[in-house]
Amino acid sequence: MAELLTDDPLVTEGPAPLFEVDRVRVEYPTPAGPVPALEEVTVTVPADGLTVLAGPSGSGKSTLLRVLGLIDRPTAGRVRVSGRDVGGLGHRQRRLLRRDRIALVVQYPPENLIGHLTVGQNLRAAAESARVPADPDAVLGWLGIPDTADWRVEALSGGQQQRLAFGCALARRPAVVLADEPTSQLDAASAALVLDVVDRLVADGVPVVVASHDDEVIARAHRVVRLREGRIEEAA
Amino acid sequence: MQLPWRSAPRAALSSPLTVLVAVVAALLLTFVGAAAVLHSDAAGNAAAGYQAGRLCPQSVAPVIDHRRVTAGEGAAVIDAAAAQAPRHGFPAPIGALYSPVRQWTWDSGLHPWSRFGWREGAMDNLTVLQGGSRDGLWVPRTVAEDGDVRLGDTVALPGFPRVTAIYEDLADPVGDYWCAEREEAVVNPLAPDGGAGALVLFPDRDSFVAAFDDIAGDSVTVSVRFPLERLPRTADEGADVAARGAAMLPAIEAMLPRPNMVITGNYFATPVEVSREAGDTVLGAVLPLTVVSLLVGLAGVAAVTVQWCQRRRAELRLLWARGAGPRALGARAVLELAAPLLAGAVLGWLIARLALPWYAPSPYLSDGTAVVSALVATGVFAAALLVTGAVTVAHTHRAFQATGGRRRLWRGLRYLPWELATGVAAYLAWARLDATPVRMAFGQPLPEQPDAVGLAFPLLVVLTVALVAVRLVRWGLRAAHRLRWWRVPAAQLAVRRLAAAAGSAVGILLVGTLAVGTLTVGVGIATAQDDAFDTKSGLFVGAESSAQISTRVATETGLPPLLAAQTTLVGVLKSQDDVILAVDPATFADIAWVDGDRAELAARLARLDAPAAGALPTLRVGSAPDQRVRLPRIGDVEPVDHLPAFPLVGNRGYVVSTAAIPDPGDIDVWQIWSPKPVDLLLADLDAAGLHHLHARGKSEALDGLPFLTVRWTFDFVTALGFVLAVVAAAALLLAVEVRRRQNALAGALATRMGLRPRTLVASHLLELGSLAGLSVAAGAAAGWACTAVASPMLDPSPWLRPVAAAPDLVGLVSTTLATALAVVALVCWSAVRSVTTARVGELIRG
Repeated sequence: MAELLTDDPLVTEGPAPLFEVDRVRVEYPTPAGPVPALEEVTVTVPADGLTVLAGPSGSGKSTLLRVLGLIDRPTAGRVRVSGRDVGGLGHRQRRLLRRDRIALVVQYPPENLIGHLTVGQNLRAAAESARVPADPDAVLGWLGIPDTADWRVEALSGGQQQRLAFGCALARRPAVVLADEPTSQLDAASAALVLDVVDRLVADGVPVVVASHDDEVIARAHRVVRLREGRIEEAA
Repeated sequence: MQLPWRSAPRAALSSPLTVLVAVVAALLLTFVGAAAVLHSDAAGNAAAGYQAGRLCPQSVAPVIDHRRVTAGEGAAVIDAAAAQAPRHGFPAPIGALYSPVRQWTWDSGLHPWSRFGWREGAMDNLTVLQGGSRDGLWVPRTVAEDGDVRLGDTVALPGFPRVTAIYEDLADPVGDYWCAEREEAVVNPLAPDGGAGALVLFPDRDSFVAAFDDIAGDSVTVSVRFPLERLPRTADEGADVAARGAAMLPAIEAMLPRPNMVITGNYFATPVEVSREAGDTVLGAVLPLTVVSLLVGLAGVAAVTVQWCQRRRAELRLLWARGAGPRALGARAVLELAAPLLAGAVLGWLIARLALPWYAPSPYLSDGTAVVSALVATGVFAAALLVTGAVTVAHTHRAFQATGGRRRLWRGLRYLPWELATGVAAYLAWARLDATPVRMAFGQPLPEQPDAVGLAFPLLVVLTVALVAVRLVRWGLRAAHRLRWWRVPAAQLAVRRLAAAAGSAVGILLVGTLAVGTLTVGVGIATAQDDAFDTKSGLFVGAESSAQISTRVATETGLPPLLAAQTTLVGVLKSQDDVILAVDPATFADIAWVDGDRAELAARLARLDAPAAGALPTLRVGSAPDQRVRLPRIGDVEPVDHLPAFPLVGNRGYVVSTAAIPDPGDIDVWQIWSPKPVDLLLADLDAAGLHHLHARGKSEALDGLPFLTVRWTFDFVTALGFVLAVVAAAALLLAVEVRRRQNALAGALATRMGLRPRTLVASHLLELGSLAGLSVAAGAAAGWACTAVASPMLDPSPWLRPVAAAPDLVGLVSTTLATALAVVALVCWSAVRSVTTARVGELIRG
């Protein structure tokens, strides 16, 4: 699969940090007033391996992942992507960064796919969105679900859908794949197959950042950032 | 274009409900836009048709008349008209020549009054009593009887042929062929000189010219009519007739031997202008209502788009996370919804066009109107696409990109007092309507152009009431979590369900209230105008029909028993200021057109037979002096009662009893009034052998165009109300359908936990019924109040009593309520069925 991967400098620079988060604070408005989801979070994510943001529910790991994915804007603090401060970027520049560099996989498998397209069309759509050539058959072979290009997404199991979601991420040839609780909706066997795909992505040189409290995911991580109540508890 | 955008049109098929709702929204939207154009044009054409119907068919095209020509000159006029008619697209004209009325001496030596004449085709339009050969004189029965004229007789003058036929007198009402020549051909049976005006027909023009060229000098009357093969059905057709006529008449005059020989008339030119004005008036009046309805429709499209955004939220978020901006996502929405919107737009235009006879006052359209309506429909469709794109852009920006502050600003819009703004606008509209009510101007056939802002008053009031209702319900639902009505679980469930979907609930309430209010205003004001016109016509004629009859009937013979039981005799005497009626108190109240209680009127009239000291007891009408007065030929009268208006009298005059007047022979005119249509009255009179004149029926006595113009305006308001009602019903169904899954799960779990099915049904009935009931109550109240306020202001002739007033709307409101309950029952059945057929396991698994 090496030929599918990008030669983006962000990936080949090796140890240079992919994300630098400096004293970031995120607040969510609620009827009772703003509630902090992240407070004074400072962390660096390198451009290789599997990084897991771990912690119990409500610890802020998904929020941190959305900040890294340029989905949410921090209330305070600074975020650098490949050394570039993204705090002052407008909507358009952030969208372009997401389009060209970042792939996102969310918790609920169907939400990573377009329901009215076939499996192959989903891979093609993902590639087109990043303006890169598409080879659905190669990706499906790599995912271990060959000959399903013409299937409707609904015909796949939850685990297969989540693997296809990572396939779509791969098809976009991103600089990094961000995944939010990718195995929480799956049984153990399906989750293991998904994690195998994650391992192979990492092995092929794609950095992956996963927010999860799944011990199986944490066990496979190259580094773990533990959060509790919106603060970094440990980075190892 | 990327795959999700390329495949968007096909993606629409994944949600049939969204497709259906989009189709219906676009259908209603384009129907409103196209129907406004078609309806106002049809109104102009209906005005043209109405006015053409009030004219003699042969007077619609240009006419030529003159009374001071020689027979030879008259023939030249007819020849010139015959030459010019085909050049200007008219069929062969019907020419006629008439002698003066004189006492011509017949072979019998008698000399009854009559006129001689000739008219093209006249012998085909008479009823022959004796003879029938077309080579001699045709004599009317009156002349034959008065002059003892028999077949073979003649007038002792050179060139006069012998009598070859005796025909039945022409009497009112005459048919289409004779109505334009009524003055020359119809016998006045009540005239003291017997057959005055009776027409003795020559067999052909040449014989008439030969007989009269010398003896009549220049006292011959010529008449030329151009009977159209088909009367104009549209204002454009009428304008074409008038324009061709205007071009033809000078050409005919140019062919005549001397100038100013004839008088020409192009009587349909003014009705054409009036028709155009009527169309413009209706368009101007319905425009504000149409714009508001279009805005409501576009809001409906926006609601459909928001639903679509919610249903496609995952996909939109995925595309946005992959770099697509709100504008690209807006294009995605447009690409998916364009096909159903287009289908709806085409259907809406087709229905507006094909259903024209059902909602418009005329089924006929001017040239190009269909194209204009199609362009309007296209514009409305484009606006719907624009709204779809814009709403998606705003929605996705707000959902994915906007900061908290901007979201608060957006949410803050709902707290703005929109009802205050519409209330102020309603007040300003009322002030405009009050300052410039719909009134006939002197010498004008139509009311002055109604103020469009003023005519928006009823709808603005209804809109304000709807917004106030929405505000109150929104506050109530926000506070509803404090309610503890578990002793009445159905009510508690209903309130919680409403509060959980407060947005949908207030949306349905808004559209429902608007629908009911608009329907009530439309039906109310249209009915008020109808009633006012009917009443004014009734008071103007006095009864359903009337006819003048001989004074001898009142003074000597009396009415035959059959007629006496079904009619009443009324004597009419006019003084300088007042109209004095002599009525029969025993029969009048049963026969006359009475706007109110007949028994009460009969009781009042009975007082006229009671003796009064030194004077006749009289009923004073309107502003007539309330004192003893001396009436010409009646003597002193003493008012014993008063009524604000009275049939035929109007607003000022006196009513006395026929039994009390000194001499019935002093009364100017005696009329017979009947509750039957005029045709039946005349048939009865003819059967009884009573001569009659000036017969008229209530339906054609007054020119109803000013009333019809206002009525057509509010007929369209009714159509808009109907459209809004369909929107409200669809919104109710949709609101339940989009929550089908949650309702089914919640209901199924609740019933498994012990909730009785009856309670579940009751909760849905309460939930939906409260929305429908509130809509009907608020809308009907607002509509009735607007109708009561606006009806008198929209009466084009308030000086003719009675002024238009709000009609009884109980039937309409009852029907509306029954329909609303039927819709509620249907939607409730759908909601409960989704619960009873739910598979809880699948619902939980998702």
